[in-house]
Amino acid sequence: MLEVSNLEVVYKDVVLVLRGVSLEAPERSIVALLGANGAGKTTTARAITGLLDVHEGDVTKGSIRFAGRDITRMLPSERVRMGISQVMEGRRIFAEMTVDENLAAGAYINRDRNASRKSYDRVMALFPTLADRRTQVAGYMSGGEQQVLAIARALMQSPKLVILDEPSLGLAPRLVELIAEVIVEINRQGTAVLLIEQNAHMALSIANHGYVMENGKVVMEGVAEKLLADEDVQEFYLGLRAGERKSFREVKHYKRRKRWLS
Amino acid sequence: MEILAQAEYSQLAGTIVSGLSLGTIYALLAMGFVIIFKATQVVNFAHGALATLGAFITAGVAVELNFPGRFLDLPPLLGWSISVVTALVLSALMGILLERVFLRPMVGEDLFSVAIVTLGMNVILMTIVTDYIGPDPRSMADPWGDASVDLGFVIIAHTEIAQFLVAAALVVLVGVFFRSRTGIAMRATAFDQEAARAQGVNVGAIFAIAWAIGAVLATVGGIFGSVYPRRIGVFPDTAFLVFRAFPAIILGGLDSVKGAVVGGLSVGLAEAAAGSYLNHPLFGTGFSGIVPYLVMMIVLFIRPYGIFGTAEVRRV
Repeated sequence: MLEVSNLEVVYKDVVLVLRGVSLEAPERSIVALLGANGAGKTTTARAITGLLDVHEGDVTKGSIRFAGRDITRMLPSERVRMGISQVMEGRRIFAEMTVDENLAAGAYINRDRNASRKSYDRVMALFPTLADRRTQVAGYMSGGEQQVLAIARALMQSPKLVILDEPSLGLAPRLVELIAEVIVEINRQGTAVLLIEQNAHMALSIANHGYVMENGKVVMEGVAEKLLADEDVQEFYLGLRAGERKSFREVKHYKRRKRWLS
Repeated sequence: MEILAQAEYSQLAGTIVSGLSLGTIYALLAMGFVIIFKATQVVNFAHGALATLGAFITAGVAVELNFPGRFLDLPPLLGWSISVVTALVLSALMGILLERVFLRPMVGEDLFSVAIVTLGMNVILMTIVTDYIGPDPRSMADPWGDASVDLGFVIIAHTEIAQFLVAAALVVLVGVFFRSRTGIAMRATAFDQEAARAQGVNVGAIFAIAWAIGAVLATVGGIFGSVYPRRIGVFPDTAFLVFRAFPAIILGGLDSVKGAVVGGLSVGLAEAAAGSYLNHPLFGTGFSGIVPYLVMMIVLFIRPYGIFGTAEVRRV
C-alpha cells in the first residue's frame, strides 16, 4: 500500500539526511522502523506525511507512492484525506484543549457529521480511559494517557495507514505494554501501522516486518522474528549479549564489526 | 444634600456608560488583534489602519455608493445595516488579501521581521486612506444621529445602545466560532501549527479566516469610533483608537480573547473615570488619555504576561 523508493531528503539545502531509503508497508501489516537517534526515522515519517517543509526539508530524489498514487509532492491535508495519519513524536497533543476538542481537531477533515460521530464512538470504545476524561484539559493528563489521546486523535481520521513515531518514548514499561496492545488492536481492526521505535524489542515483538536504519540508509530488513533473532540487532538494539559486560572501548570495537557496514 | 447625592450618582452612572461604550470599542479592536496574533503569530501593527479603512469603506458604501438606498427604499436602520454588512464583507476580503499578499510570504520568519512588515502595511494603508479621505471627515450616515434616551439618572445615546448590543453579539459569536469545527482547527493551529497540519488542517486557510475575522472586528470598532458621541465621521486619525486599545491587549494578555474583552472594558472604564473624576488642576487637561497606559503599566508590574496571557508567550 505504501511504497517508499530510493528516497533522498535534504534539510536546508545542505544536510543530506536520507540517502536512498526504500521501504514498504503492505495493507493490514505492522512494519517496524528501527534505528538510533539521528538515523533518519522521523525524517522518513515527515516525508511520507508531507511535513518536511516546516523543517526546511525537501525530497530531492525518489518517490513515495500510496494506494497506487504518487504522493511525493502532495499537500499534507490531501495525504490525510487519502488515509495516512501520523502520531508525531512527543505526542504533540493540543494541551490547552479538552480531550473531546482534541478529537474534534483530529476529525477536521471529516466534514460529514455522521462519519465523525462514528469514528468518535469507535475511538471511545477502543480507549475507555478517554471516555472517562472527555472534558478534561488534555495537558493535565499523564504521559500514557496523552499518548493514547494522540493515537486516538489520529484514528479519528479513519486512516488506512497510521505512522506512529516513538509512541513508547518516556513511558513506563507497563504503559509501553499497553501501547503495544493498542497498536495490535488497531491493526486487527484493519489499519496498517508503520511503527517507528527505539524500543526495538517492543516493536519487533508485534511487527510482521522490520527495517533497521542507520545514517540515513536502510541497512537491514527482514521478517520481524528473524530480526529479533539476529545477532547484531540483539547486540546493538536489544542490548542482549550472552555473558560479559563491556566497556565503552569494547563497544566501539564491536561497532566496527557490524556486518552490514563493511 | 439629597440633590447633591443624586448628582453624584448620576455622574457615576454617566461615567460607567461612557466607559463601557469606549471599552467595547477597545474590546472589539483588541479581540481582532488577539485573534490574528493567536492564529498566525503576527503582531499586527496595521490594526489601526484596518479599523480606519474599514470605517472608510463603510462610509463609501453607505454614502458615496448609496447602497442599497439607490435601488431600494428601505427603512433607514435596515438599509444602513445592509450597507454595513456589505462593508464588512469587503473588509473581510481586504483582510484576506493583505494576509495573502504581505504576510503569507513571511510565514516561518522571525516574529520581529513580520511585525515590521505590518508596520509597512500600516503606512501603505494609511496613505491610501488619508489621500482619499482628505481633510474632511466622512460621515457614517448611521440612522441614529445624536438621538439619545434619558433614563432619568443617565442619558444613553442610541448609538451606544446599538454598540453594546452589537459588541455583545460579536463576543458571543466569537465564542461560538471557537467551538466550531473551523474554530477548533484555528485553536489547534495556534497551539501547534505542525501538529495541526498533521491532522489535515489547511493552515493557510486558517490564516485567511483569522485575518478576515480580525478585519471585520476592526471595522466594527472603527465604525463605532466614528459616530456620535465620539466623532462625526471617519478621520484619518481614527487609527489612533488602536493605540489606546493596545494597552487593553497587553493588559488582557496578548494571546487571550477573554483578556481582550476584559482588558478593553477595564481600560475604557478607567479612562472614563479619570476623565470625570481626576479634574484636580495637578493632573491638567487630557490626563485621561494616558490612563490606559498607566493601568497597563501597573498590571504588567504585577502580572508580566497580562491578566489572562499564557506565561510562555513571546514578547515583542
